[in-house]
Amino acid sequence: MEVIRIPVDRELLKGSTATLVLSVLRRAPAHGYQMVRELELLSKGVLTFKEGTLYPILHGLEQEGFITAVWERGDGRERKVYRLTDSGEAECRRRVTQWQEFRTAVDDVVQGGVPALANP
Amino acid sequence: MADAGKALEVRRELQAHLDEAMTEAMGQGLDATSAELVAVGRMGAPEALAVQLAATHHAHLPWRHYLAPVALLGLLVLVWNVPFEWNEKLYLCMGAVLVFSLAPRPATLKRWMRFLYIDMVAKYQWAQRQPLRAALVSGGASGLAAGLLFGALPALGRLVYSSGWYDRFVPTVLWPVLAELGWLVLFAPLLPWLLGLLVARRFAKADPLLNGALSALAFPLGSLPGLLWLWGDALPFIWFLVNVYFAFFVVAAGWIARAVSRRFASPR
Repeated sequence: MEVIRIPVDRELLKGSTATLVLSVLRRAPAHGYQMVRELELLSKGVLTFKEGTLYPILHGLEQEGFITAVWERGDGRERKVYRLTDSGEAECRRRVTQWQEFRTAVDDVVQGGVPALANP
Repeated sequence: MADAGKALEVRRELQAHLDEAMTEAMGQGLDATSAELVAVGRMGAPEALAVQLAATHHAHLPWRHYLAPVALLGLLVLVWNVPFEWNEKLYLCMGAVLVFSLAPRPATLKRWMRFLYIDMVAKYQWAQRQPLRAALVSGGASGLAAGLLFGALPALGRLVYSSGWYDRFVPTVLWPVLAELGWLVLFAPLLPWLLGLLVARRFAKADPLLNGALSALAFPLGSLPGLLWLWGDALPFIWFLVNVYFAFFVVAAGWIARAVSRRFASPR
């Protein structure tokens, strides 16, 4: 069966990027390129991030203390690997909870059949 | 310096990202050149992206990077007012430029140019949060520089009178040329302000009235050094009044520009 993908509105992605990044780092530390590929694979190609979008988010989260970064050497190349901090873990949980509540509310409105203010 | 260090860090990280992308492309069978083309095509050149990211992160550029070119211009004005021969003044000005180009480090001029570019991009990022700062940079600095430059004209006039050039050059060449240019010379000091306004509107969305008001204030302030140095001389006082006239003109133009931009502004 052919799957037709509708491009995701960038405005929808804007508010979710930090949540997605924190969620990826919650699974395991990763460098920038790894995060781009991980997000793409986990979302089955729906979420694709340009480097100009991802790195400002990463640097902003680092400035806020939610993630830390260290340069590591592996496979003959150097990489800047990001890790979640304790406050980042808490922030990730908070954002995920917020997202789930938001998603449930939107689903209820979008998929609900019976009007809330139904005539008696 | 902290800004240069951060910029290098960003550049290094983007290069590492590019290397990863190239490695993956080469793993899919591409040669090194093709892999680099694919990777750069996808993410953009690391140098350009680093500048863009540096502008995002380093929007609060140190004030001294804006002050240095204006201070250099002011120094040139003061040097020009020293009652030496014209060739000695020229050597002094060249020496001032050399000193500024070497201090605090040899790459100062190149850094000024780079920060000017980053500044133009950075204005777009932070001007909406700090419109006063954006107007100060684009309008105030350009107006001050123009005022300082035109404040040097009285000294230049004194030099022309005293050097004998006047009899040979001014009546036969300069005055006829100025007479032909006429209105263009009268409105020439507006050019730096217009340039600053264009930059502000294109990159910073700064308030044109605020922009114009700050540059208008800067024009007469910039001509003050010439007026004070040659106190009692009618010519610099006339130029000071001319700059005050320009100030009113610029404020009026800024008020009109703001009214027009608000009239045709589209909601976002």
